Parts: sequence; structure tokens; C-alpha cells
Amino acid sequence: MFLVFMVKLPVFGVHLWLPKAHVEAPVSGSMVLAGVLLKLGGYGFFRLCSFSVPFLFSYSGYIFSAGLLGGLVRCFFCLRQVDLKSFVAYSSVCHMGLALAGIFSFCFFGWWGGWFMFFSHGLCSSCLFYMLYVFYERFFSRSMFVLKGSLFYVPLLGFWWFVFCVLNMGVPPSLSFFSEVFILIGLGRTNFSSIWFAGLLMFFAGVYGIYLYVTVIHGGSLFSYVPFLSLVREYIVFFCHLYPSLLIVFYLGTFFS
Amino acid sequence: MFLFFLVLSGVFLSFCFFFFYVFFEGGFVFDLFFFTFCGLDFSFSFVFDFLSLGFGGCVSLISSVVFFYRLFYMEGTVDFRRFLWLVFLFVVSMFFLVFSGNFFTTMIGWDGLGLTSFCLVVFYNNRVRLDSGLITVFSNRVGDVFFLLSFFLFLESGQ
Repeated sequence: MFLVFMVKLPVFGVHLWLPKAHVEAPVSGSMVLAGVLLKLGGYGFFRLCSFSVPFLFSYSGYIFSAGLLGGLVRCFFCLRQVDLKSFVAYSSVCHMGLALAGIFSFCFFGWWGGWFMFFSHGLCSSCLFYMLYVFYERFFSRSMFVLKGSLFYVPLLGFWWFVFCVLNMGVPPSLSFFSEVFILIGLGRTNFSSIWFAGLLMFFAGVYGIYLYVTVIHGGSLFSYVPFLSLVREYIVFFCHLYPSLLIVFYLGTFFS
Repeated sequence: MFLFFLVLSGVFLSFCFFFFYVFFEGGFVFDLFFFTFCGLDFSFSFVFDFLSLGFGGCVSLISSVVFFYRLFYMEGTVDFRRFLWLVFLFVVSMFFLVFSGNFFTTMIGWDGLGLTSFCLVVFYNNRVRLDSGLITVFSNRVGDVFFLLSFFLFLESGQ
């Protein structure tokens, strides 16, 4: 039962179904997959922890380190991807590893940090998949080498891409920043030496967030002119993803009262 | 025109009163409460005292000169409005960093400064600018992570 949730919330070693599923799935499928389905594994952990803490506590060190170190290894793999959809999929593996380590710190901070990480990552990664779909509708490609230099023909989409890459790496007034802070506190309370690995993981999360922005938006374009018609519907979707992840911070107090 | 001067002089006078108040009273803290969690208070807080107002004055003086100068310097650039917004956000995050009163506000200023300076450095899309911009933003991210670690250490040592 434990392994089931570990496959669902991809922990390093049993995550290989995720990039393949994302690459083949249609956009709504991969949005739901990134936004909701991965979090169901985490939901299972929350439920499981509530009735079998003594059993899980004896194994928590292994799961903890599988989450952290596996996430770190996946960060390096992530930077080698060419297909942007599998890039975002691998980045979600890193974040889920961090959230898993937060849950299995068995600390109040880490617990809530994992919860917030699930929520914020569900919002921003599903919007990143939607943006990739917006590009895919125009270019029929997900490759970095085709999409590079998009700033010339879609400046506004470049802005939104920047916002969501930055939300993915955890910039302060957003929920993902609070989740990183809480997870770091939870990890440090449990095992002090693990905060170095968590810090390294956060650094590489920042690195691939910026790398994702730079490869798509920056540089010279392959095309000299692209008739890129943006639809209002797309911007509504972006805004609806952005709005809760920024606004929920102001209502965080209601969770704890 | 007269109205404009009236407003300008009003703003100037209120700033003068503000400075005198801070100078004689020793400053004050503006605190916007967010939430509390396990005895840990998260809030937007800004400190206005002599030091931060002095630095804020320097920042606003230099940025006003920059705002004026870029009208001529960046004339005819394709993405002029993007540059305008980036410089504006840069100055805003610098104000956040200068007037910050706690960890959270400092982090907003610090991260905003790193990201907007990255966007300013890579404003011209070419390889050389990209390399230096990446060095900027990654070293900023290192600082970011160590801010978080030091926040944890502060919390543990009970300060």
C-alpha cells in the first residue's frame, strides 16, 4: 500500500511512467495529471500517516532521503531534457520529492509545508503544461530548439511564462515560497544535516526554473515572422492559475486558526 | 500647471514633515499582519528610521536620474515599455529591500532584485548578455537559499 502511493507520487526509482505519460497525453490529461493526480499520492500519505505513524516512523529516514536525494538526481536529469513537456514532468518529480521529505519529517511545519507544496505546484505546473500547449497549437512542436526566442513574436506570453517559471522556483509572495520555508524548517528540526541537501535541491529548482524561461523565451528565433494570434481564453486560464497561488497567501491564517 | 505645482509642493512638504518626524522621534515600524503559525508570526513589516530613509533617499535620487536619462538613452528601442517596467520593478524591489523590517519582506526585496536584474541584464537577446545574466541570477539564488537556511538557524536559536 505504501509502494502504491510512492508510485503515484513519483518518488525516484518508480517515477519513469510520469514523463512518458505526460509526453503522450493530451493537454487536459497532462494538466489534470500534474495538478491533481500526483497529489493523490500525497493525499494517501497524509491519510496513511494518520493511522500508522509508529510503523512509518521507523522507515521515515529511508523515505526522507529517497525524496531529497532522488529529487536532486532528477534535477540534473531535468536539465538534460530537450522535450519541454518531459522537462516540466521531471521538474514536478523534484518538487514532489521535496514535499515527500517534508511530510516524512513528522513535524508540524513539514506537514503543512508538504501540503502547500502540493497545492502551489499543482497550480503552476498545470499552467506550464497549458502554456506548452499554447505553443504546440502554433508550432506543432515541443522541442526547445524550435520554440527558442519566442519573445520576438509573443512578448505577453513571454511575461506569463516568466511568471510561472518563477512561481515554480518559489518566489516570496507566492505560496510555493512559504511551502519551501516550512519544509526547510521541518527538515531541519528532524535532521539537521538534511537541510544542506534541501538547500541544494532548492538551488537547482531555481536553476531549472530560469533555464526553462531562458530556453523558450530568450535567444534568436528560428522564424522571422510568425502570425501568432493569442486568444483571450488562454490568458483567462493563465490568470486563473496565477490568482489563487498568490491570493491564498493572504488567507493562510484561516488554515491554522 | 498651477495645480501641478500645488500638488508637488504638498508632496514635498509632507515628505519634509515625515523626515523631521523620523529624525526627532527615531523612526517607526509599519506592520501588516499576515498569519501566525506555531508561534511564528509572518507579516509585511517596514522600518522607517534614519538609516533606511537615508538609503531610500539615495535610491530614489539615483533612480529618478535614471528614469529621466533613459528617455533619451533608450530612445528608439523596440521594447521600450518592457524596459520601463523592468526598471520600475527594480526600483520597487530595492525599496522593499531597504525598508524591510523582517525576514519575509527582505526575501521579497532580495528575490525581486535578483529576478528583475536578470531580466535587465538579458534585455538585449544575445549570448554574452545571457551568460552574465545567468551568473547574476544563480549567485542570487545561492544567496536566497542561504537566507532560508539562516532563517531556520535564527528560528532554532530563538531570536
